[in-house]
Order: sequence, then C-alpha cells, then structure tokens
Amino acid sequence: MRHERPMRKKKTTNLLTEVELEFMNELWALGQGSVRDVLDRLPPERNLAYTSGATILRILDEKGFVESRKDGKTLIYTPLLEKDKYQARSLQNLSRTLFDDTPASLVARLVDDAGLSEADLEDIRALVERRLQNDSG
Amino acid sequence: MTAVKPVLDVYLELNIVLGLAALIWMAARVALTKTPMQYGFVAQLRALKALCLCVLISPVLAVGIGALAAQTSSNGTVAIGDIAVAAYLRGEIAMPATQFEALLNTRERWVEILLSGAYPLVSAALSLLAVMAVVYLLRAVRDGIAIRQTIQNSFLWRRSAKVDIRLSDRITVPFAVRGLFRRHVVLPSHLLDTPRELRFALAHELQHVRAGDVEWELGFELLRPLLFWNPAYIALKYQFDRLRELACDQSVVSRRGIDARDYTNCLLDYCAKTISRGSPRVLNVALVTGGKAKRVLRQRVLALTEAPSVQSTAPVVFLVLTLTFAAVLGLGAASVQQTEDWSHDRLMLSTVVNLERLEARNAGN
Repeated sequence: MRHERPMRKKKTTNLLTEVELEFMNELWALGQGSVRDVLDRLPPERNLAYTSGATILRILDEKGFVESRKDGKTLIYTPLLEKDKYQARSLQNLSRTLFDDTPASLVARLVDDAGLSEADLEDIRALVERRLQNDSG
Repeated sequence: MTAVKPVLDVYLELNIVLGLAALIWMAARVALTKTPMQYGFVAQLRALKALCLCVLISPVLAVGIGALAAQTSSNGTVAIGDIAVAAYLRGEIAMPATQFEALLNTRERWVEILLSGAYPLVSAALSLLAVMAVVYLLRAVRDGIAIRQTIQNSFLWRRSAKVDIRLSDRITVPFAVRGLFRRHVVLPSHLLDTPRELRFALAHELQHVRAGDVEWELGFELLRPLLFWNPAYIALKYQFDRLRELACDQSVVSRRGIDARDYTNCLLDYCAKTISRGSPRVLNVALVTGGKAKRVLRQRVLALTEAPSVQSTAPVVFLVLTLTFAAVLGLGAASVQQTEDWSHDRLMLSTVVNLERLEARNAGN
C-alpha cells in the first residue's frame, strides 16, 4: 500500500463534518498552519494520529475549504472560506432543514431558550435594531 | 414457443440442481458438526463456494457422469426416466402402459401448460413472478447506482495494485465492493477519529476482498431476480452470508492478532449505527448488515468468543469434499435431464402404449 498522488479538487457537500469543522476552527484561529500546528491545538485527550490529521486536511483541500502551499517539506494550509460565511451557510442549512425555511422560527427558538441571559437578550435587541435602522436608512 | 422450451428446460434443471445442492449442504453441515471442521469457518466457506461452482458447471458435470455411465453401466444411462422405462419393460413396475407414460411425461406436460397460457391462474402466478423478478432487478440497479455515487463522491485515500481505499462522509458503515475494473473499500471518514476502529474495519474489509467475497456477493445478487423464489437459493445465500462473515472475522482475529473482545465491541457498535440507516443492502459487503442480520451477528459474536481461534483444514479433506459434491451434483444433474425420445426402450414403451390403446378400442367395439 503506498500513498496516492495528490487528490484532485472535488465539488461535494458544502457543509463540514464534525471533525472537519474542528480542524477548520483551529485553522480560522491560526490564520494558517501545518498539520502539526493544528494537531498541537487539539485537546491532548484527542490523541489523533498525525496521518489522520494530514488526511483530514487533504480532504478539506480537495473539498475546496482550504488551500495548501509548500514551505520546504511542510504543507501549510490556509482557509479559503471565512468563518462568518460558513456560520451563515450553516445557519441557512439549519433553518431550511429543521425550521421549515422560516428563520423567524429559528430565532424564536433561540430567544425562548432558558440559557440566554438578560445581557444576551439585550445584545440581540441591539443587533436587530441596528439592522432595522440600516435597512430603513 | 419452441425457442423458449430449451431455455425453460435449462432453467428448471438449474433450479432442481440448486435444490439438490441445498440438501447436500445441509447434510454436509450435519456431518461437519461431528468433525473438527465444525469451527473451521474458512474451510466451510471454501467448501460452500466449491459447491456453488459445481452448481454452475453442473451441465458439464452431467455430461461427464453420463459418459462415465455409458462406459461402465450395462444400460449406459443415469437418467431417471430411462432407468424407469427399462425397469417397466423388465416388468418391475406394475402399471398400465398409458398411465406409466403419462407419469413419465409429467414434466413435459407441465412445461406445455406453462407455455400455453391456457390456465389463467398459472398465467397470473407467472406474471407475479415476472413482476417480482423485475422488482429485484430494479433494486439491484438502484443499489448499484447508489454505491457508484458514494464512490464517486468519496476521497481516494490509498491505492494498491488491485484495491482503492476510499473515505466517505456520506456513509456510516464500511463496505467493500467491486466495480468493472477495480475493487473499492469505502470507510466512513469519521473513522479517522478512532484509529482502533479504523484498523478493525480496514482489516475486515480487506479480508473480504482477499477472499473474493465481493465477487461472490455480486454473483449471488445478479442471480437473485432469476432464483429469488427458490427456497434452495434463499437457504444457500443465507449460509453464504453467515459463513462469509464468520470466516472473515476468524481470519482477521487470527491473522492480525486483534483482540477478539475489542473487535466484537466494534461490531456491536456498528450494528447499532446501521439499524436506522438506509444503506444499499445488496452488491456490497458491509462490516455489519444491520437489524435484518441480527441472527448472523449473534452467531458472529458467539463464534468470536467461544470458537477456537485458528482452524486449519488439510487440503486433502477439502479436495475429497469438493469431489464428493461434484460427483453427487453431476449425478443429480444427469438424472434430471430430459430423456432421449427415440431410444430403443422408449420405442418399445410407445409400442406397448399403442397396443394397449388398440386393445381398449377393440374391446369397446
């Protein structure tokens, strides 16, 4: 069994799996990094093999979420998708699949959540008011 | 209709030989429980594959047995019809000739009834079977397309001379499958997170590839639209599925030095994951096959915990078993073949029948 040539870019689902999201979160925080950089940021109990980490980043590269460049013998990965854009995409997907494509239901569920503090609710109010002012202005 | 009849004859003979093969296998299983091969699942699977191959080449075996009989036996035949006619002419069967001839031609008469379409009930049953066959064919095509899409959307991880190992985030259970040119082992990408399970799954699926199980699965499923109604096919397929997994588990645990208890826990985890998922059920060899195969999974777990780990079988035992299967199936296939219409004995029987009819007519006058 030998390593195969670099995988070609492939158009696939535009959502990340759990472990891919974990890696993207680390890359977003780092800005860019190698396999070792990302693995070093994971909790010690994850105990992920280097080859597994390398494969996950290769898959992200093939899916078009990151790009890679050679730095000596090391591959450095850079996110191609910004975190807030992925957050929006993920929420749109959640709204479509779980909230019948009505974002208001999603927000209602969030606001009903007992876990939100007074301060959180105030922040949300401020955000909504700012957005309304921008739209009317 | 004349073009359909030979095809129907071959089909009927295949089904009869398949029935005989199932009976032979059941007898062999009973015999094997009294030998050390009882827990030799790898050897048992090889024997079952040999038996299935004998079914496929049964027409050739029948020709061989027929030729052998022509050289050794006095009447030179093993066909039941010819033996019965010879016995009748020797006076060993007490029965009016017309009645005996009708009995002898039972199969031919039934084939004519099937082909004539004169009986609405028979036609309806045949139509139902045809519809079921189409449904099974469509299911195989649907699952084939689903597997192809899964492979196309997966990521090539490793490649050897014959096998591609791929990762997919659209599946939950690892499986092995073969395409036209290459064999693929597809693993859920989340397995990268659990190296121990990844090792088990990879060892298991590669063992299926090594044993040629993916090709056998393909062969069985491609025959299903033709043979689904035959209990012998269902029994042999069940035995194949069962032994395939038992043999694979045994090989993995003994060859790779994997702890049987860890491996069993991994199987149970995966079974729980597959019960609610709609994975393609045919044409692939999965690590576990979900709720429908609970009995097989139970047997796998028991075999892993109770059976002796390594079972070697002498090649001579396997050879004797295979030759026995070939001889019995060849004899069976030769004996159910249509008898020659214009043999000497047949002409004699025909003459006796005509004389009997003439006598009856004269008595009537």
